[in-house]
Amino acid sequence: MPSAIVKRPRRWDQPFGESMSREELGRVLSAPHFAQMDEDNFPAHTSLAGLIQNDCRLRQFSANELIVSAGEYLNSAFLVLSGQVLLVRGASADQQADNSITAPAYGFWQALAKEFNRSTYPETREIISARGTRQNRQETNRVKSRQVDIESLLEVKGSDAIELHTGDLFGEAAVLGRNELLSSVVAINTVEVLEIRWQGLREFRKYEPAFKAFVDDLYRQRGLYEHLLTLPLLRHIDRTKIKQLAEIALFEVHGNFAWQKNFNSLNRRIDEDNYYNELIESEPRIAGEGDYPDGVLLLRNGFARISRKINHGHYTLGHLGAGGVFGLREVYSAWQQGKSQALPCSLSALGYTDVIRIPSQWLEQHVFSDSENRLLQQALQTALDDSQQGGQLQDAGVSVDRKLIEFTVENRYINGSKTMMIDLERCTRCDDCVTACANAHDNNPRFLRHGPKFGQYMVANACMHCEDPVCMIGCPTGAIHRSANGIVQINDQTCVGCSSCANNCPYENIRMVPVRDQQNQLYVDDKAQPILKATKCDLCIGSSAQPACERACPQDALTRIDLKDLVSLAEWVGR
Amino acid sequence: MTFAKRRLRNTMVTIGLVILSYQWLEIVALSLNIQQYYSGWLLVVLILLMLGLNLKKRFSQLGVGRTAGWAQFHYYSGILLFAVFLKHIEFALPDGLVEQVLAGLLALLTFGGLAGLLINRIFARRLAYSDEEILFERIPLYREQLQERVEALILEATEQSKSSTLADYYLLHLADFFARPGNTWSHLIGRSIPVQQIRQNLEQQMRYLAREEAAYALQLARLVEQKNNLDKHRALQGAMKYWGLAHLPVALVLSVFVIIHIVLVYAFRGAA
Repeated sequence: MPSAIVKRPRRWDQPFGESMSREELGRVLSAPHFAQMDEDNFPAHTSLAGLIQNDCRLRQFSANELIVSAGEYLNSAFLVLSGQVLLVRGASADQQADNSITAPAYGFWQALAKEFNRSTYPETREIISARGTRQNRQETNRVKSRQVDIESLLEVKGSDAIELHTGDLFGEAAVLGRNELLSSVVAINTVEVLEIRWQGLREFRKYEPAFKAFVDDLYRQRGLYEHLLTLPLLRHIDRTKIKQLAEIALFEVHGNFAWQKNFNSLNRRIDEDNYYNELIESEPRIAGEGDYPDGVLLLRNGFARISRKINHGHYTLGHLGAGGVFGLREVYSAWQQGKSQALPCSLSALGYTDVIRIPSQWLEQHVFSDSENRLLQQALQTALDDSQQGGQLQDAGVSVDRKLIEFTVENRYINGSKTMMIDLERCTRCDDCVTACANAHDNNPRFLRHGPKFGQYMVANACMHCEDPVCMIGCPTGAIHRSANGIVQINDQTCVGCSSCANNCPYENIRMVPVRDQQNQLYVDDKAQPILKATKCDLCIGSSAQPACERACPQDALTRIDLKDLVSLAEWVGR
Repeated sequence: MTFAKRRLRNTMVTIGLVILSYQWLEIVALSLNIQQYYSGWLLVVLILLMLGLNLKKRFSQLGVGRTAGWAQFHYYSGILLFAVFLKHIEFALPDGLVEQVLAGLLALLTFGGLAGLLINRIFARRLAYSDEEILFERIPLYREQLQERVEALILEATEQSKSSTLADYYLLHLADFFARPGNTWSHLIGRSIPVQQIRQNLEQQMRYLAREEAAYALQLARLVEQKNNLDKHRALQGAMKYWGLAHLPVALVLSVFVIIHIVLVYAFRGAA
């Protein structure tokens, strides 16, 4: 096959923002934290100056301009270089500001034109790298100014604000925890911030121990207080008491940040007899069945499995996600009856889990003593019975096979927010979903109509847009990133084809494909190796028929579903 | 909405529309108009709308609703169309050749469509619980790989046991089974007798095998099951796929005959 020889794309082909001038670089290097960094700690290929110039960008905001909004997903942390910003916890500024981050869908005529202008060959690219082009930079910089009214933000019930000044960092908790932002940040006056994308933050933490300690401490301290504020159970408690609680509550991290490696190696043994029991036993134990709890466990990040030992095996009752509560009923009963209560089941980390342990004594003093507390009664009602999910289903008057729930937890599909599920009793194998996907994406489908089965249901190999997208961990350029609304996307031009995301995806939903030019010539480097690009489902973002797979299914057999939402799952399987 | 509720709703709406159109055509006839002109154009409109499903599939990127919705519309419009067609021909076989062909094509399309719907529902259900989901396009490749595995197994069995009993049996009774797709009709009608016979024959053969060959025969039995599964997928998935491919050309031929019929009707309208 004829080929076109090109230079292999590399990290830092294109800086994160506009190229930094010498003066700007000097300003950043003399800013708090950076001034204390030792250039010698950084290797030559990842120099301190190189990281600042390529993985950071300077951004200016005017007074009342929204920088980030609660509920968004971030790929960067922000360091205040000058001016003041207000960090408002618990209030989303999205309603006020025109949320311009979501890409606009193209209209009917544009879609029709695209149908006729489709390339004849699969995976064609006009350019394979952002090197020397302004396209990527313009794309990443295309963030419309969002103005908000600070006063009305502060009026939101339950909101709480602090001012941040030069040298303060924000957004680090959302980036490190790979979760939604809990606070909105608004510029009070003219502000300059340094936006540090995840790849840069990772390297700064790796090579500069003092910076790592600072970020980690901030992540725990601020994250803990912010999380406690969001808990319905503590909503009536005064803020000074919550601050006290933040000081005495224990912040625990269970599991491995890059959990997919262990999961992938265990997955290779899926056919072995004792696979599931070994898998469960290998998961870090947060609380054991039969233990006497010394406090209530609150999940801040990640997922945890609730299981019970039955004879020689483990039975999965359900799972807890961020915001989940474990052990409340037992601690409350122990307080009421004056006698310790053992936990009826175990809680173990599914991957990486942050847990806050609230001491029983504090709860007894501030929460249990108020017997009229409706929030407590509600929390007790929804607290672990068999599992919290059971309550949800009962309330909605629907039911779902418990084995199906077990299947979703065992395979960690609860991590996904848009899992592709196919009802094989209705699927006629017509492949209209595959064709529609290929039509929307360079004549090459972004998923495989194949995957693990449970009874009549199949979870197809399509990106699930995970809540904890571990695929992003190793990306050297930030090409794979999550949009503010949670869609995991790949920037094709900054993808260097390193396969890190494809190797990290625990569900094998990312594929590396060789790319070619418009004349069907494969792009190869000077060693005749093909240029690869990572491809995966992007939920047809920008298209007016999204997602194309679901909309193309004539049999109503395919859905994109959040498998944590058991009510939706029960309704879908019970159709 | 559950499928049962949707089915009930759509059936009720279709029955209502059939009654309504019959009433309208009765009124047209009572007004001394020829109802065939009106019912004929109604049929043309319905045919065009039904072709919309195919266009929707072709242009999947257009945001004009979900294909499942278009499919539901297609199914129930088909029933309405056939009911209006019966009224159009006054429940009697037409006498012209073109009209007879047209009537035959429409009946073929309607009953073929219903049969297709039935095929989809039944076959999809029968495939849903098979051990492994197999992609139709890869079946020939899997079959070849399976054949290579089984031949390697037989060679190994012969070498290890120094006996050719299993190899002879394979060549005589199973080589053909592994060499090409088979038992298509049995799979289509849900009959498992052919594979049961293979299983039974292999079991009966066990007593004649050398001790070392027996273990290989058990492995061979597992490969028979795998081949049977491939054949089943090929037969059922093929029927679901190719039925759709047959339905569309008939619809296009029908459209051509409709045009001829309209031209003839208007050319000879004075004779009516």
